Amino acid sequence: MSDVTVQNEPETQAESAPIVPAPVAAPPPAPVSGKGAPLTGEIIFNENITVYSGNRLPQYDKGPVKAYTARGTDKVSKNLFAMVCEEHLTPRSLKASNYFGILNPSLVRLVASGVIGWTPAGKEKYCFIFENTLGNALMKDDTKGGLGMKPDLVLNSVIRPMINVMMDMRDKDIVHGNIRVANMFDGGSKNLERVVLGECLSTPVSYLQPVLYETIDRALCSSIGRGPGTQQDDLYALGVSLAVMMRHSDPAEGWSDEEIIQHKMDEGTYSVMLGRDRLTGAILELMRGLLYDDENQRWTLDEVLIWLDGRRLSPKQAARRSKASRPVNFMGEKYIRPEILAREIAKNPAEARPLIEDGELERWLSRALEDKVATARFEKALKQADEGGKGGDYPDRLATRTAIALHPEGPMRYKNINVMPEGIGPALTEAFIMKRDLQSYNDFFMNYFITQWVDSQTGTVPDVSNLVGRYDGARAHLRQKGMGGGLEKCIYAMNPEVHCLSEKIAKYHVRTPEDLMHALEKLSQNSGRPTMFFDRHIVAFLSVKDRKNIDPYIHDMNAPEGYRRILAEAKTLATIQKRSQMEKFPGIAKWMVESLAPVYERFHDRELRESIKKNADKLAETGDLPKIVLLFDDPAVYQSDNLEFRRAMRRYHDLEQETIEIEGELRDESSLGQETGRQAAALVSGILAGIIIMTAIFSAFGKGAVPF
Amino acid sequence: MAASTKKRKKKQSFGWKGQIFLICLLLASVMFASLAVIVVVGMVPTIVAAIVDRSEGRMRALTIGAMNFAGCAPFMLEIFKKGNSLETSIAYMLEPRTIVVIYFAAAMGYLIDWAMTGIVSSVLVQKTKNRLRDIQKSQKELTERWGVEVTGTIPLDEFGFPVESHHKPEEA
Repeated sequence: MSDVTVQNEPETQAESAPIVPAPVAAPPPAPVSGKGAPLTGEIIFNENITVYSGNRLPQYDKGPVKAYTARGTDKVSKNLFAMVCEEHLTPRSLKASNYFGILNPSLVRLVASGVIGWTPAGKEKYCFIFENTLGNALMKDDTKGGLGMKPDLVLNSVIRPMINVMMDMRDKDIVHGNIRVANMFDGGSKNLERVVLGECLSTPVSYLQPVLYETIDRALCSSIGRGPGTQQDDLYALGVSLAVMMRHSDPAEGWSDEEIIQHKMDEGTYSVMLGRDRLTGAILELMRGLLYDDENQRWTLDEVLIWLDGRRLSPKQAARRSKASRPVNFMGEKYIRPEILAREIAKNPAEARPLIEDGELERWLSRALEDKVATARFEKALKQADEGGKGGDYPDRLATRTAIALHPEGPMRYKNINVMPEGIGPALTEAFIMKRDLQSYNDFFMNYFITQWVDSQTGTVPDVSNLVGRYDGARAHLRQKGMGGGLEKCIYAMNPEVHCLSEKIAKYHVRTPEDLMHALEKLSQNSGRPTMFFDRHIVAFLSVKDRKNIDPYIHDMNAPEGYRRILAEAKTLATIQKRSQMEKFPGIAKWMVESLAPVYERFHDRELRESIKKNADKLAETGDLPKIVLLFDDPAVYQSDNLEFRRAMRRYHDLEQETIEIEGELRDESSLGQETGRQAAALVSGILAGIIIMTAIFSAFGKGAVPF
Repeated sequence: MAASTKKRKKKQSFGWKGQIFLICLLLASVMFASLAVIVVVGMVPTIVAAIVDRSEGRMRALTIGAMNFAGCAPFMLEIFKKGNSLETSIAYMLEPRTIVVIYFAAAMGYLIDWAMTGIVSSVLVQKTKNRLRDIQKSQKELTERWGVEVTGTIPLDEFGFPVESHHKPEEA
């Protein structure tokens, strides 16, 4: 199995980056704000909203996501609260725009959402600002006891408003995933005229739902890996909420989560929720309809609307979960339900191996459970587990595949992973941020359990080709070891709402390539900024968000030569600026130009280097990244430089040869020029002799000749 | 092998030309015996120089010979004017003045050879040294503009850059 390639080391250099806009010194630990308490720790959000980090609203907290007082100015409502999201729990930012469109008094209204410079943490965080019309929660601990409310009151104050909300959410394609009594509020009225449903965007779907409010199959998942869910799951949660409101006693009091699931399987959710409480009349019909454990039998929203109109629906036959005629022994316990056995096998793969390999489990399936389909699934699972050999993590693979065969509607369970197929993204994100074991995620994708899970489903799986395609893509990413691949890319591909998890920009909440540009611009002001712009996370993030920005340069980013990596980064940044028609980035431009030294070195001609450097420095002030990149993007310049360099090399070589010759001549300096000197002497002598002879002739034979 | 063949050819060509020259010289000596005496006795320094001279083309002998002949020429003209008789010629040759003048002229030839060789040689050495300095300057300029890789003394990649410069920038 391949190793996990994840960049997960902290980067100290980037740590000291200045944090975003905003204001004011970090306040001391936030006190709980009471009425009239002074507002402290103000942080400006979107110009017209102020969030008070010193004023907590713990009654609206959603687990680790804390609520704070906020105030609006201008046209924004004054009474607001902010949900400041946690990094490891990916906020549902993509659903925010849909949520904005819902204007229903029974649903807390979203006023704004986005990134806030959260000074107490010294970093940016994502936050949702809601209008504070909630009042008090109907229950603080909604997993115990009951409210004993009368059905008529529930019908008018809860069911009708909630069904209206769910209709709106269906229209906007949102699954709430957090419908529960503790998330229903009285709206500030004493008589409970109409409940107000709390928010659902600050955490992944169903992350905070107690097991009681989840269907059996989803309850078996880890809370982070339940996936996006469906409206049927919301209706089930509504049914459980109604049961808690109307019941007088809690039949499940003191039960653990596992016992609740066990009882739901054995007795059905209706019995578990209402026990001895007797409901009569129309409301009984609704409760039975909503609390069907079989999703196909459960009432749909349309059926609830028909019921609200006063029409009666013919009761459906509840499909019972299969149960064996005799138990199978495993680790000293007896199991008659394959779902529970699947859970235990997945938890204890080493102990499960003999049970599976001895054929005992197969005999139990075929004889005690008498389920031919399950037996066939199990046989196929055994073959698939064998495909990877019996070494290494074979027991884990065997346990996972057996668990899927025994409980196909349940989650995929592998080592510490326990997720519905769609829930792998948030689970992987959380594991990465919380620095959990990531090798198991790598193996999970490479073992390709998804096809077995899809093949095992009895009902239809929505958008199955997309689901399988994403898992295929994850395997391909893992095979790609360089930048732009690996588990980092799986994180962004499987969880589109996650922000960039790069350590370089850890102080910034980057959700888009444009956000990245702004974060880098802020980071550029910091003297301790890193040399390179990108790391594995940023490359993977950009590749998933908009592949046209970066994919043409990924090959160069993985090149061993520094100049190619630097240039690839520069080109990517320039492409983002150009394609998104963004403003100028003088900070990034200066940073880019300063890091271009290895690129200048790719020109042989030092004068050309200087000239290009001067131009780049000039352009850096303008912040126009495409223009800077253009300086290095002309092949003719490189060719001409190379040609001139070759010529210079030849010239140097010729001079070298000449030097050798001259030095050879100078070695015997005394003989240098002797030959020429003699020739000159012969010439001079010849001329002189000629003059003498001619003079003698003229003297001898001329007029008045003088005797010698 | 080729060198010895060339030498032989040279000797052969000199042979027949030399033979004709010698015949002509002999005939001229017979016809102008009086002048021949002056030449034979007066040109002794040239003959010595020609024997001693090992330089290519025997330029030194030529230099001395030219001046030596210039020293002989006035006496030959005098003898010619006085009837070109052998007695006159011998009389001239017996006069010390004649020998002094002729040999002084030959000595002037030696002087010219020595002076010209020295002057030309020192000028050429200076010129060569200047050229060497120019070359070094040009090489320095080339290195400054194109880097040490232009010298071809370090291993280069296909693009002409030092092989060791392929480093990965620090992941900061």
